[in-house]
Amino acid sequence: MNRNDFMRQLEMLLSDITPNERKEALQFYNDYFDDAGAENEQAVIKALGSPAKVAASIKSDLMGNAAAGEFTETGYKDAYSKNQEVIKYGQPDSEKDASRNNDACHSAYNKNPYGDNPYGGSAYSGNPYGSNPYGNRTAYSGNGQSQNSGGAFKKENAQSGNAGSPGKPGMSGGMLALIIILCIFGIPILIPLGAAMLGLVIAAVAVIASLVIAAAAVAFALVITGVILLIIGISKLFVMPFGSMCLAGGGLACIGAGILFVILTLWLCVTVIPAIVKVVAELCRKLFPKKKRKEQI
Amino acid sequence: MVFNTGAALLDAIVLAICSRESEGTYGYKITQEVRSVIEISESTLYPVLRRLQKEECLEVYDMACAGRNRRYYKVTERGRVQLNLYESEWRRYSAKITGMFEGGLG
Repeated sequence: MNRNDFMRQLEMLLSDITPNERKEALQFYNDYFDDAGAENEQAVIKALGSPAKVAASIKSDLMGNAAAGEFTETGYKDAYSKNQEVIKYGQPDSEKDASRNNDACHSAYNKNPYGDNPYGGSAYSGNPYGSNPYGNRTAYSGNGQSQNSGGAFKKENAQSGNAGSPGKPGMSGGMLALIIILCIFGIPILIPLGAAMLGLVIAAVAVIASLVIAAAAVAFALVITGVILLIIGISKLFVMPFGSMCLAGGGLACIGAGILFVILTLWLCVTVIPAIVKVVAELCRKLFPKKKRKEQI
Repeated sequence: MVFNTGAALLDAIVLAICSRESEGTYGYKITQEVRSVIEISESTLYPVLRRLQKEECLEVYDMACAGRNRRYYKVTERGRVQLNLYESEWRRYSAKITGMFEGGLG
């Protein structure tokens, strides 16, 4: 990979942020390559890691999620980078969990980072961030976690508040409330949708059943007709030999066709219907994991 | 490095680096200087600079250099206040830790 490939990939990966942010970021890295010099191009690419990693670090910051990561000797671990190495130096398990569950924690918005400032108010009466428009910033006041007096230097604790420690279910509570509200507002849509689905399923079942019934009826009619023709043909054999032979032959042909339809009916019942049911069940399992049971019929 | 670097400390280091030059300094140089004191990956610096810029601790301007524009980062008044705050806080913090190590006096 050379510089152009790197920048192109980065641009593509950043296609979902605002044009202005994208331009700034690309300019920064272009400058970076320029300043490093052409001879260091490969070294810079190696040091930056992958375009995906760079894009992830940019985006995690844009989402107000600067607190989701941690700066370690192996680099910045953030919520988005895929290659989360195991944290070294034997950190407690709860912290590992916290950093693993980072994705669940875009909640920097929900927290008041100034709520329990471990610095105490007096020393910072002149704090320019008292009226900070960037309310999601947590760096200056620890992590909004009262037990953590060293919080300013360990940002990942913001996560353990949400994902790691059971004591603070603020995030999950909010999510639960959101889901409930969504369900309530969704009812007018979900009920007709469910009814339509049920209707579709019933229609499909009816179509298949009618096919089977039709095949069975045709088979039954052909066999009966064939048998009657055969009987008439045999009974009149001596009265009008040629006509009755034709009748008997036609009857045999009908019986043959009827047997074919019997086979068709059996095939529908034994092979086709189980196959359709299986496919539908598979589909349901993929689309609606919870509705699976209901729609297998 | 055994100790992890939090965002506040990283901000403080970046502000300190930018404040050393009266006309500011540029991204690549900041990255190299930060990496000379703490071990972080190079992709970390851009978000930090951007954030500090958004918080008006840093201001940017472009300066022509070798036939192109290079973006310079310069500490604002607000950034300077913030840096002072970080510095005094760091002194307090490190003194406490040192005191703890050297005699448990806290």
